[in-house]
Amino acid sequence: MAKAAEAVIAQHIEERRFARGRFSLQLTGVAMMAPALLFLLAFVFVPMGYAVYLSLYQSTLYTPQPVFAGFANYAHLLAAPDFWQAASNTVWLAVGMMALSLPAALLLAVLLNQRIRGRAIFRAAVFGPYVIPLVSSGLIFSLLFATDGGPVNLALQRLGLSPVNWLGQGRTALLSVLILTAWQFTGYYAIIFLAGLQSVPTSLTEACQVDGGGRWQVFRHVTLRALGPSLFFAVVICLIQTFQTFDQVYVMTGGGPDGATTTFAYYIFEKGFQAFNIGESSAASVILILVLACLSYLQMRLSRRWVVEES
Amino acid sequence: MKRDRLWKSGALLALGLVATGCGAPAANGGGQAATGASRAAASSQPVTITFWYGVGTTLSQDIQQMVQEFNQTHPGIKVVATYQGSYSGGGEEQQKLLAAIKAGDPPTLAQIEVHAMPVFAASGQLLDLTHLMQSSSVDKPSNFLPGILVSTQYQGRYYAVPFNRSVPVLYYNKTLFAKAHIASPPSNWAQLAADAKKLTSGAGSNKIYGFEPLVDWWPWEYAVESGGGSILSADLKRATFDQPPALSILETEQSLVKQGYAKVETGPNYWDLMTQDFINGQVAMDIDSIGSAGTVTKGVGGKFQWGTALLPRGKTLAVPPGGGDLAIFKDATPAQQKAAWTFIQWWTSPKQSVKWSTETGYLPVQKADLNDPVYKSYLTQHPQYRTAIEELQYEHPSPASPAYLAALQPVQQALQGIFDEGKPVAATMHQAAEAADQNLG
Repeated sequence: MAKAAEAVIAQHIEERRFARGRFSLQLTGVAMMAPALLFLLAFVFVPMGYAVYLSLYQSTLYTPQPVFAGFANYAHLLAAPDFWQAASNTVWLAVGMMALSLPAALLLAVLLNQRIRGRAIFRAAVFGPYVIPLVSSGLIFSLLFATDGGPVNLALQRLGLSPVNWLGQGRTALLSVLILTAWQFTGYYAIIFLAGLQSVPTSLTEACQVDGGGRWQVFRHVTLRALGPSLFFAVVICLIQTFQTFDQVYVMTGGGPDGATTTFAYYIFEKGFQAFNIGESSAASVILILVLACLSYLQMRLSRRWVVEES
Repeated sequence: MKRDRLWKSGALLALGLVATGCGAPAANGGGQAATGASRAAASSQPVTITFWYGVGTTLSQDIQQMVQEFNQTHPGIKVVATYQGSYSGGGEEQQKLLAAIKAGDPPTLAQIEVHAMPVFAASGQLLDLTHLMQSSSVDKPSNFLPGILVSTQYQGRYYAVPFNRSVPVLYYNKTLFAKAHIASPPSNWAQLAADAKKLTSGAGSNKIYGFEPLVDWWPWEYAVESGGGSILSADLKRATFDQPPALSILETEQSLVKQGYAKVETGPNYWDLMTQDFINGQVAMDIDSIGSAGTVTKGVGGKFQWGTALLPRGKTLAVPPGGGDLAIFKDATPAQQKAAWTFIQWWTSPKQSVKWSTETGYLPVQKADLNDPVYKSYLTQHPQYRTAIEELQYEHPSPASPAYLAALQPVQQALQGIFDEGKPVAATMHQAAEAADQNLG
């Protein structure tokens, strides 16, 4: 009885000591994060809040005092065909990146994970495009896709095909932007996958081989499953990056022709800085944030089961 | 309001200080303004005024050189001129001005694109120059070339003085015209269409096209108004550019493209590419800014003979203004405003204005410029500019609505639809007009 009471007291003391320790630990943690948090606050969260505020006002350069407008900016946007065009362009880009860039990245990662000569060089080369500023690669691809004398068209003509006005037609202009974006980011996703591949336990792959699994089966049942977290991460990052597509559009097409390559982010820029409609531009940014938040949440929900189950 | 602004500029300054600590160049604006204000307070120091402009490379060098000359001859004033990126519609200079106005810290004076004048005038941030101009011996309204002041007025008041002005003109390849036995450039659209057919020859990559329309809203303004249409209703609240007369010239241009008599350039560099097509002799006629004359002169060299002509008439001839004007911001101290006005008068007086025009190819702005011996000899050497000066009398103001820039966005898209993708003119422009109405209402 007495022993039991002692034990309870001891545990209590332990708990309190631990709690105090945790509290001071927390303080240190917060103090260490403070500089970064301060910057985030000043440059991300305050402007974010201000954007939400502005989105409720009719605010342009030529109305010096913003007028409260409720959800009029949102209603206006949702009724505007060019808003939906920008949204659909962005979705198509995202679909394209999922279908083109991620599988290509996985393939590259698997290849780069083999024991091949000059592996470091290949790895650097694959990652290379990601390091180039998007504006530069945008300029390079504009030249590649030039109608007169662009290397892509010259190659087509060599093959006896007629040249294509890549950046001058809606479909091909969006395709050109997609190709550049895939070229730019595939290496980055490949590195994510490569890191994932290297953490696949060899015990599992060997076990699978012992059980008579072939290469494909090892890949499908062990590697791919163990890659779950990396895949999930890459999909989220890919979606977010695609929804922020701006630089390449600015450089290659200016959103044209006829709005065919205007992405969500470019639309926000156009509304705000070319039409000077700050209110609607802010409303569009808020919608973009909401969409991204929803997508992230949905993916987290869907993937939690899947990812946790494996690890 | 005032307190609000004080707080905002204080915050900006604080941000600027933080940014300086990180070595970011963003701090320049805040820092300069602060030193400018303290200098103005100490009366022995020269008045410092800031001047933002948006023309780069050699033009920027020309401006810096003239500013230096001004500073040397005016010991009481120090002009700090800064290139801020393109001044064109939606360009970086416009964006920075917008941000500076919102932060309550605009420059003393700035170059403003002619179509953006209503936006800035309506913002209430520009100094009303009407009295200053009327009492000036240099910049009296009657001293300017007729037509050139159309863009500087807003609701009957003057808010700017012409700075670097241009107009679109018809460029034609005289050598190709002679080959096709055409004696003179077309003066109306029926002639232009007929000439374009005669001038088109060859096939494949060696094909020479008769004409090339510029897929841009600037010559589109000319097309709408010269066809007998109007861009906006008289009260500026509704788009009227989808009415039949406004479409007639566009229809002609599109049919030339569809029949293979006209070439079209697309993508973000469409303008440079079109100028280049003319220089390469790939097109016999195009509608380009007189500001491109220097590039064309250099590019063509002795390859062929070329000239400029008045834009072909539709029902009438209406020429849109182009380029930029100079405006002073209200926020400046009285001493700074006075110094800025001195600077503007110096720049627009015939001596400097002629120097600027002959160096850059922008239009002269004052009547007296045309009698200046230097300019006269320049015109005999560069007869292409005569057309542009002659066109000034047909200058027609663009709609003076602060929402006009926003309304032009769907127009630019529609033009791309019509020329790049061959969409029907009437339906496409009707859609654009509906979108423009949304921005105007």
